[in-house]
Order: sequence, then C-alpha cells, then structure tokens
Amino acid sequence: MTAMRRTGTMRVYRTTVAALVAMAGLAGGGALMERAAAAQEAEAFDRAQLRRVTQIIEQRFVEPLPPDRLYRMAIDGMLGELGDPNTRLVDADSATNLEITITGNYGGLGIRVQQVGGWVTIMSVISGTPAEREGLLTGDRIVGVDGASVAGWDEARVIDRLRGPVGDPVTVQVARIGLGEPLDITVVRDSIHVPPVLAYRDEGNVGVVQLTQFSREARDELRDAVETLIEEGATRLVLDLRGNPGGLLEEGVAVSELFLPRGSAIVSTASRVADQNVEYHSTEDAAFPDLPMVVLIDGASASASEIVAGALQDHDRALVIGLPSFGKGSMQTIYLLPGGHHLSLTTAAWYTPSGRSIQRERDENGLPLTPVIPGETGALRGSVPEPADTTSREVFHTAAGRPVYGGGGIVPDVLVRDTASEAERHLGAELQREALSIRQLAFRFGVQWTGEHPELEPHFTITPEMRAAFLELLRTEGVEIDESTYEAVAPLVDRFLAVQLANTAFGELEALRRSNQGDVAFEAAVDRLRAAESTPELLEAEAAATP
Amino acid sequence: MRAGRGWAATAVVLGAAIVTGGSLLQSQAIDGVSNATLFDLVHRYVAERYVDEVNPDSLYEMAIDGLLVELGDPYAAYIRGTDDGTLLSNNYGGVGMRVLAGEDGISVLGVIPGSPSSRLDLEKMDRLIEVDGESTLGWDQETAVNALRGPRGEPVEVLVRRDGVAEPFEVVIVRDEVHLDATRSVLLEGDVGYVRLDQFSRSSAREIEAAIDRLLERGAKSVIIDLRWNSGGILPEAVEIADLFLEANSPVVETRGRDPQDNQRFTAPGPDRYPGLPMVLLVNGWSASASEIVAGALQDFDRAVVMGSRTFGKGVMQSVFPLPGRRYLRLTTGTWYTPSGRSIHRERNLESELGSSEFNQAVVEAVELGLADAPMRSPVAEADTTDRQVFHTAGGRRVYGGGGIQPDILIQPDTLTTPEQQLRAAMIEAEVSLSDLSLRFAVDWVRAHPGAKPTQVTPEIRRQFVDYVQQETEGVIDEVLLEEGSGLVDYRLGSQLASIAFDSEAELKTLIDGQREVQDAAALLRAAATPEQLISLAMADAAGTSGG
Repeated sequence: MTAMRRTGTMRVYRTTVAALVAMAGLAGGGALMERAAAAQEAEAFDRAQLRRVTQIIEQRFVEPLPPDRLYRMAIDGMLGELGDPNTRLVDADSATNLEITITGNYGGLGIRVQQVGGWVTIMSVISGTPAEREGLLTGDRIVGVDGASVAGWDEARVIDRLRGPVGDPVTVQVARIGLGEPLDITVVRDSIHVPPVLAYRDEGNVGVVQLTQFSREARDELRDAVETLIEEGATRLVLDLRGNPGGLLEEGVAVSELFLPRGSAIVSTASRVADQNVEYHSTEDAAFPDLPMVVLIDGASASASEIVAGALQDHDRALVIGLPSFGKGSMQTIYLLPGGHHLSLTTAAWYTPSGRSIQRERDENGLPLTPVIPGETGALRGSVPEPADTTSREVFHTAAGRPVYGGGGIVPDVLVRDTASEAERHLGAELQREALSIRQLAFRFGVQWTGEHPELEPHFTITPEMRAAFLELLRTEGVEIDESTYEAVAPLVDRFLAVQLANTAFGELEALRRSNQGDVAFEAAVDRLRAAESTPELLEAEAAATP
Repeated sequence: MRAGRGWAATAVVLGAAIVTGGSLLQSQAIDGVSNATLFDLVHRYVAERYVDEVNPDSLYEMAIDGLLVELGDPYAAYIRGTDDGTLLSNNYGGVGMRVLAGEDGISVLGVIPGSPSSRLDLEKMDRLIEVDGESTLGWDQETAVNALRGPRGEPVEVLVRRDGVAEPFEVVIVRDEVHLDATRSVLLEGDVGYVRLDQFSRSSAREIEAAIDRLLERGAKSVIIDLRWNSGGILPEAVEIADLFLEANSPVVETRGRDPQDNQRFTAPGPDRYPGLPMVLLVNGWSASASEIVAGALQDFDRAVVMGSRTFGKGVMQSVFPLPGRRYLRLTTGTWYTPSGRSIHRERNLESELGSSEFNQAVVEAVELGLADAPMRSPVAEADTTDRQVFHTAGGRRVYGGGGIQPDILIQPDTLTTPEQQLRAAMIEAEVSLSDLSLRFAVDWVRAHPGAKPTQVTPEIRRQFVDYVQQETEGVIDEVLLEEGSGLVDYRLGSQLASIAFDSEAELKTLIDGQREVQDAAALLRAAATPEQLISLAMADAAGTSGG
C-alpha cells in the first residue's frame, strides 16, 4: 500500500530530474550554433511572420487579448508542439514549488493537506514544525485563512495562501471533530524541511527506509537513517522507492554512491551540447558496501528512483522487487528566466551503467503505449507473480551477466503484482460510482475514531466495532454492500483502517509500518532478505528459483 | 561522482538566486519582462539545447501553430503555400472531368460543360488508359486526380479508349481554369422548381438566378432551394443570394467584431427579383455559415419557409489574411447576426466531431461523391427550444437565437432500419464504401448495357450487385446482409446507376425522388399560391406537429 505517499500534494515537479544551469550559459551559447546565412534568413522571416500573426490576432481576433498574452500563448504553443510533456514554461508564482523540490525547504506551516469531501483537510503534521507546536491536528478541516473563508477552494489555492515569507504569521481557522465552533490558530511561518526519509527496523533484523523524493539532502539523510538502523541491529535493508517521483539527478547519483564501490559507473547522459554529456562514477568508498539489500519499485517510481534502481541492478548490488517503474529516461534542465519564470527543458537522455535507456513511450494522456505486463494497471492487492513481457525488448547484461531490459522502465528481478478479488472489485466499483476512495473514507474514519477514542494504543488491532462503524460510514455515503461481501473484503478494509488510524493517532512512521504489514511486495522483500546472508546470495536464490 | 560536486555547487548558487529572486520578483513584477522577450529566450534555449534537434525556423512555425491552438478558435489556421484562388473560389487548373480510377484504367464519369475536356469532345464513359505515356491500369483515385491536375496552360496527353471505336486515340488537353457550377436544378411535378446549391462561391448568386429564371420559363410556380450539406463559403455571396429575394435596403446580416472594419451591416441593394414566388429553403445539420445567413434572413422576413433539420450553428465569421511567402492566416474576426438580431452560434467541440469516423464516412459518401442526403444521424440534437432566446420575424413569428437555425417545419431525416444499420456497420468494419462499390458496379453495368436507361434497381440488377459485392469483399459482406439491407442498397445503387446512365437533370430527379424532405417541401408548395399563403400553411403545419 502506498497510502501515505499519495498525500504529498505540495509537490508539483513530480518527474523532474532537475539540473540547474546558469543563465550565463546563454550569452556564450550563440557560438555553438554556426548557421549558414540562408538559414538565418529563413529564421528572420519566420520570426517576422510570428510577429505579423500576433499583430493580426491582436487587432482582429473576435475576443480581445493583450499582445503580451499572445506571446505567452506562443511559448506554450511552441513547447506544446514539441510533444514533450516535460518541456514547459513555469510561471513565477509556481516557482516556489520548484524550490521545494530542489531544496526540500519552504516558508510554511509544516502540514500536508488534501481535499477530502469538499474541504482541504490536514492529512498529516510534520514533526518539529510550527504546525505541530501550535497544535494543528491531522483531520482538521481548513475553513479559513487570515479571516477569509476558503470554502470550495482546491488544495493548490489553499497551499498558495498558507505559504509566505518566513517569520510572517498566518491565522488558520480549522473545524475539528468534537468542537462545536471553528478554531482560530495563529502560526508563524518557518522554513519547513520536508524530510525525504522515513525509517524503522522491523521485529527482526531488517531495516526499512522509505525515500519519498530526491531533494538536496536525500543522500545525507538516507545515510544517517541507515547508520542508525545498523546501530540498532539491522543487518539487512529494504530501500523503498515506490511512489518516489525523482528529483535531483545529482542526488540519484549520490544515493547510488552509498552502496557501490569507488569508480563504479552510475549513469551517463547524452545531449546535443557538450556540457551535458557526462558519465557519472562513484568517487567515494561505499558507506554500506556489503549490506544485503532489496530495492522496492512500482509504476510511480521515476527518474532519479530509476537511476538508483538501474545502477544497483546493473552492478548486482540489490535485488529489485515490485512492479515495472515509470520509465522516465530523459533529463530536464531548469533555466531561470527574467521575471522569475523557469523553463523546464528536456536536454538529455540518460543511460544505466549497462547502457540501457529505460524511457517508456506514452500517449498524449500519459498512458504507456506498451504495457510491460498484461493489464498492468488498476490493481488492488493479492499476489500473482508472473513473468514480464520482455520478449520484444533489447537485452543488456549486468556486471554478473544477468539479463536486464531496455525501454519500458526498470523491470524488477522479482515481479510482484497485486490483483483484486471479486468482492474487492465490487467494492471498488461501488466506491467509484459514488466518486469515493477507500483511502479517503478510511482517513475520515480514522479522524473520527481517534477523536472519540483517545485511549488507542500503538499496538492496536482492528476490532469488530471499528469494522461495523466503517460499514455504517460506507452505507451513509451511499455505497451498497451486503454483509457477506463486506466480510470478504475485511482484510483489505482492516489494512486501510489500520494505516489511517495509525496516521491520525501516531503519525507517518507508524502509518508506514502498518501499510507495509501484509503488503505483498514488502513481504516478498523481507522473506528473501531473512533467508540470505548477502546480496549475491539473494540473487543466486532468485536465479535458482526461476526456471 | 566526477561531476557531482561541480553540479552541486552550481545548484547551491542558483538555489540562493531563486530565494532572493522571490522578493525581487514582487517589486519588479511580471510587467518588467515582456513575454516577447521571454519568447526569444525560450526559443533560443529550445533551438540550442533541446534533446532533439529542431530547426530554428520551424520552431517559429510551431509557435504560430501552437498559438492558434491556444487561442481555442477551431477555425483559425496558418495556411502554407496555397494559392489564394483555391481558398475562396472553386477554380482550379484542370481538365474538367469527373473520373473514377479502377483496375481497367480511368473511367470518365462526367464532363463539365465549357471545360477543356468538353471542348475536345471527350465523353462520359470514355476510358483513359494512358496519361502522359504512362499506363493507368490499377491506379488509385488520388494518383489519377493528381496526374490530371496541374498548372493552367500546361498540356496533358491522354490515350482514350471509347466503346464502339476500334482503336484507342490520343487527345492533348490543355489544362485551364475549370469552373464547377455549384448549382443543379430540375423541375418537379406540379410546377415546383428545385435548385440545389452545394457551396457558396463567387458566382453562386448568378448561377442561382439563372437556374430560377430557366425554371420559371419552363413554368415553375414555386421553388425549393436546397441548402442541405452546404457548409457555406464567402459572405458577400450569401448577401447577394438573399438580395435576390428581399426588397431593396432590407438588412441581411450584420457582423460585429472588435475592429471597426469587422462591424458591417449588409443590406440588399436591389429589389426582390421574384416577388410573389413561394419558396422553401431546405436545410440540415450540415448547412452552415453562409447557408445559415441566407436561411436566417429569409426566415426573418417571412420570405421563405425553412424546412428540414436544425442547422449546424456556425455564427462566427473568419477573415483570411494574406502573409508574405504565400502563407495565409485564417482567423475568427466576428460574430454575425440575422436581421432580427439573433446569433445562431453554437459552441461545440469541433475537433471531436470532425474526428469521428462516422462523420468522415458520411461526408465522404454524401459530399465528395455528390450524393445528397445520405440517410444518417443528424449531427445536431433536435429541437429543444425551451431554453433559447426568442426573437420575432417581420411578420411577428417566433424564431430562436443560438444553436443553429430552427426550421419552421421540422422533418426528421429518414433513419436506417436495423438491418440497414447492420449492413452499414459491417461495411465500415470491412473498410469498404457502399457508394464506391455501387459506383464501380454502375460503371461496369452501364458499359455492359449500352443504351439502357435503368429507372429502378430491378431484382436482376440487385442479384448481380450482390454477387459483385461478395466477390469484391471476399464474402465479408454476404448475401444475407445485402438482402436484408436492400432498402439502403437500392437507394445507393439506384442513385449511382442514374448518375452514370442519365444526363444531369434526370440523374438529379432520380436522386431526390426518394427524399422525404424534398417531397414534403414540394407538397407544401403545391398547396400555396403566394408566399403569405405558404407561411400560414407552414404555421398551421408546425402547430399541428407540436400539438400532436
């Protein structure tokens, strides 16, 4: 389950491997392009043509449009015609989101929010932030900001209003279950660091680290977390990159470096300009050279996540388990433009150490043109390991000679696919009909139940009373489900309730622990790690198991 | 990590730049930088650094295309290298023949009067077996048309085989401007004249006038003007056509745009050329633009009864701006209003409508092969006038704004029976066209039966056609499908046989004989002696329909 990961709604640049390049590059850039006089003439002509067209539209088009706006439309139009969803102009007012992606820092309160049932609701409170100090709680509905109602606002608009200069106060009005009147809470904005790492050790000796994005300090925070786990007795590692959309290229390289010997190739980029044709190698000794490890990926693991998974797979350093990854094999450079705008431009393709590109072609709606496994979408749970369709794909080889495949994302060494039972599909269809999701309903249930039962212990189990209360909530929302079907989906419902109760009552880490319990990919990882003393042993066992 | 540290350093510096930039931004604001400047920067980055190489000049063209997409004007286009002439009138450099390419060469289906081909006495059913020395056997339609077309004044050499002439003979045709008469007319029973206008081009008003005058000479007492499938054309021609039937100085249409030169009132310059002549205008869901201007004006002045189904609803007008380098910009520059002040514009998702295969199939069959009114679903949902703004005609009748011209008398086009729909679906599935098969069969049949004048599809002809289709589709379209869908088969096949075997007028008569809209219109006109009488009959009819 990836319940918690989906709450990260403040991130806009989900799939950007960002490498920043100075504007200064532009001034000298002209020299790169030696063009014949004829070509320059053609360019001058077409440039003038664009000016004429904008003038005609400005004077004659049936709707009034300011001329400057037309040039903005020409920019969007030109980039749109390139057909690359990652190449686009980012407005100045969205640029702060970019900064968060790069630095993990912003001036805000320290909450994650999402729209639930028409209201922007606090999904979690980040520890050590002003929001936690001032007592904002998971489940609070934000009804006003600085005295103005935010009824009907979407997340982006509320987030925009909540963010601001560090040190400035903002008054948030929240509706909380159990309180008759909304509550005004004033919070002084602070620099918020969104920690990209959640880590815990399971009952045995397996350390679990979830990395949610590759922001600037990802490597350092990951290293600290793994070191702590080892001190606590962990002798094996699950690095969970599921749902991780990527981030900075250099952090992808740096994270790989933690596990690979000095001098190992990690990733290489190829572009039309010399300064972006780079081969990255590990320049340090590995911090964790021998720790047996599994990397978990899924269809939302993209770009920098795929650099890490690809490098560790190619060097036979980790067993990769899960679903084929997103398949983003291109790299964007973010150019700062005057006025605070940014241009995100696809400037290079990248290749894993074995030389493969994992770029997956998609249609204009972002759907993969060639699914890697039959029916590769819409799964709920259940385990049906089956071979990926790699028949038509180019074969590469890892350092130890294992076959790996180009195109279509990173194909895991162990494919674990979730499927839904008939009862679960029925519930899913019912929820869809009412435009509901089980996660949101479980979240609402969690907030309600925790409010009414402050005595909940960290080791709680899902009781028949909780189940009955949730069934009542489902029915109140118009979901038609009979007793026997509800019985049949109990394991699924229990996990959602456990995750959301843990989230509301005990926070993100506890929720992650609960979400991993009973998760097929996670359990496949832990089972294999417990049975092996080293990564080579892990890989050998897997090779022996597959005919 | 060889480059890693260097990159990190760059990033840190710029990270700081973003943070401080944030506050700079608020004081400088966006207006400090024009989007034109921004455009130049973005253009340069893409030209120099985008992962794939893109031509800098084609980037500007992409910007123009993209800008027009962003405008959201479905009619806007950047047109490259087209001759002004083809854009606005239907003159082209050609030989003046309708042709059909097939395995045994190019068959001539018709020769346009006054064209180079007619001056050289080329005839219907001639076969062109060579063009410029190349054998035409097995050519497809596009190859044939492209080979015959060319710049005006340039000769094309064809080798002609004619039934009854022993040896093929050579003809050199000098391509010339070919004028396609957009009107076709016929006198129906009961002295009802019928004129069909396929599109509005520069001479349409003159052609309509000539056609009506001919019909009146032959005794017509009333006239049907058929604007079904007529998707419009140039605005001044619509005004001139309306002028034929309106009193001097009557307003016809008013355009309003943002630029003063787009605000224009068009009035009828001359008197009603046909005072007292009862008229019906036939329209359907594909009557658009200039067709709607004519229908709107004649409806508002109670000058004609509008019959058929609701029109397309294109109430905006475009201007075409010539640009250097033989390029043109087409842009929506105004909205037009009928004399009673209504706009009939309907917002729609043009792209998805034009993209549907059903639409394309229907249009190809109905328009390109000259088959009026292929029975099909009307593109416009019918006639809910409850939410529409009410306007009044000169005579006080209610008419409606928005959503196309609402006919005074609504006639649902014939719908296909279930077996006919199954046949049609099977044909679309098999990627064959009933019209095309009918036409090819008709050409062979007429060749095999010189002098025959088939007025209907006899059981024997249908038998042969069924065999032909089964053979051509390798049995995919089988006997059962064709027999059960025989209504549709007879209609298509009959039309095509008539088009090959008869002259233009007889063909047209055969074609429209089976059309309910035309029959209903003719019946109404036979019952009315004056335009006023016609209007009252129409009102009574409409009241009866809505009451029942």
